[in-house]
Amino acid sequence: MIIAIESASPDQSVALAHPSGELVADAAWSAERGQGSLLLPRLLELMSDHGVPMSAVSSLAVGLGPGSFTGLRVGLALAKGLAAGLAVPIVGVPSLDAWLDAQPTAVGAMVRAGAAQAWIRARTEPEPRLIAFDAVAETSRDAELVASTDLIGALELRRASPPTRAAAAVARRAAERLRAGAADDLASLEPVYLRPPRGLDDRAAAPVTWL
Amino acid sequence: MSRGPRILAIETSCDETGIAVVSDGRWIESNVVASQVAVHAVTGGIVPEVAARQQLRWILPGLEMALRKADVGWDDLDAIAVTYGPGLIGSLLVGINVAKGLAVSHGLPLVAVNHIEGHIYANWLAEPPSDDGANAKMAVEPAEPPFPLLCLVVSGGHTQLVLMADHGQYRLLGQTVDDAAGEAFDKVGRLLGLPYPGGPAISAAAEGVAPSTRFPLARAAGRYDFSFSGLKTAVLREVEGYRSRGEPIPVDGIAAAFERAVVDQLVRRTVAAAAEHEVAAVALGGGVAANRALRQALAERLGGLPLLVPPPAWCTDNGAMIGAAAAHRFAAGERADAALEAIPSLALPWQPAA
Ligand SMILES: [Zn+2]
Repeated sequence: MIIAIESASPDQSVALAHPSGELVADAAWSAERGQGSLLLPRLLELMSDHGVPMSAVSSLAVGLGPGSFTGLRVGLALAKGLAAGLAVPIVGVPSLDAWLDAQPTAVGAMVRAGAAQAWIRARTEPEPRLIAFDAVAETSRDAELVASTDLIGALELRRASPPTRAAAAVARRAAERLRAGAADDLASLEPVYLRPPRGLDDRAAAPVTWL
Repeated sequence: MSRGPRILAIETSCDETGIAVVSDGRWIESNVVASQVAVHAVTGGIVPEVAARQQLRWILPGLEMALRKADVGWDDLDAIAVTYGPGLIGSLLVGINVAKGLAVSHGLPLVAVNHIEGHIYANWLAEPPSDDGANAKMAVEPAEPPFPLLCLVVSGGHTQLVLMADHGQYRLLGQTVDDAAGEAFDKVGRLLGLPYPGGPAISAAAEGVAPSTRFPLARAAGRYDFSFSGLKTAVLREVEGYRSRGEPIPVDGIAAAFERAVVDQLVRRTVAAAAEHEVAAVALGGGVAANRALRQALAERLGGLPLLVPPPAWCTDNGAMIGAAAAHRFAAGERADAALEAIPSLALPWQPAA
């Protein structure tokens, strides 16, 4: 059984899927607070409702972003704890790819990037682009998009819907990679931050000291 | 040696990733810390988002090292403990969520620990004797700190004077009304052009140097409260005075005067509180406890009262201290659930002043 977690935005979801990628069950909610504290309770609920014991878990799949730094970190930290504890492989999936999978008619996926910007991933483009809120064209407000609830409100996106089935799509993409024998390195797997901490160059290369 | 609960403890409240295995609330089986001090030296201070990213990057390598060093498997553990505050929210959440994942994957109870309580419980930590008896000084089990115990927790994030009547019973006597002592060291270090972190740099500069001036003792609201921001401003004025006169700044002398003023304030309040509450001993915790001038002045001024100072590695943030504090919460039946959140401004369950 694959456990999938998607928490790039306040619209979070978890899913259980067979190794084939076929969905067993999923759950989605809009987190009112930024801590992602519902991820584990909802996951455990799903597992108990569907009679899935921890011993049946064969891999972890997790959305890597881009999106909320905190949301992504919480989801990945939980996934890392589960994968390390269960000694199973982990696979990271680009979140916006999964969002688009989850809503096949959407032309693009949009997630917040800080106070007044968003990442937009058009279905026809390979990479997400950063766009300022005030640069969102009026025509985009009528485009069919998959976007986080906070953006739908802030940008008055009239035909957008939230990524409620994203975890299921994360599980499908992970299943494909797992079948191809490709898992990620558990220790070094990181969110796709895409941006350095505000006002800084990326310091990720600076060394820690083991005491 | 007794073997009570064996706890895997995780501490990620700030910029240190600490993972430890501790048994019976005392014995360190492993205590691994990934320190980001070199990372934050680049920016001259901690950038929370940088700290959180580093926490996520190093927590699993740290976990693996801690389990390997302790030579224990999951079946050997009785609980997982984790710091849930106070601290930086992004950093706290990394430890909390990894701990949750580990706990549910093995059906182990999760124990949430207050970081300040951890610093206090560093005074209970001990190295277990090695199997071949080589560690002779530990052949006798080290005594536990006596109650009532006065604890001065002083670091880059906290400056608190806590009276402990018994395990888990805390009364906050006083705390800083502005900067933490360690924070003041960092800020003044920067002001004087000394490297980050400011504490060790200022102590090194001040070593054997006569203070160039005398900074006044800060007043704060409560009798046992602390204040360091006025002192920082006084240092700034002193430095600007030399600048405006075109004179060379006596960095070492100012560092010595600043350190003396910080130590004097910490010592006065601590000694007065120890006397008023007739404590059995005074215990230090937190990174600033490594400051030699502070330890010397406290030892002198406390007279015959025992002063407990954990080794420097247990004073700075680490997982072992969380494991020690967790043991008492575990024994009291406290369990955190799957929805545990970080509380960045968490206070201890203080008893109201009697
Ligand atoms: Zn601390």
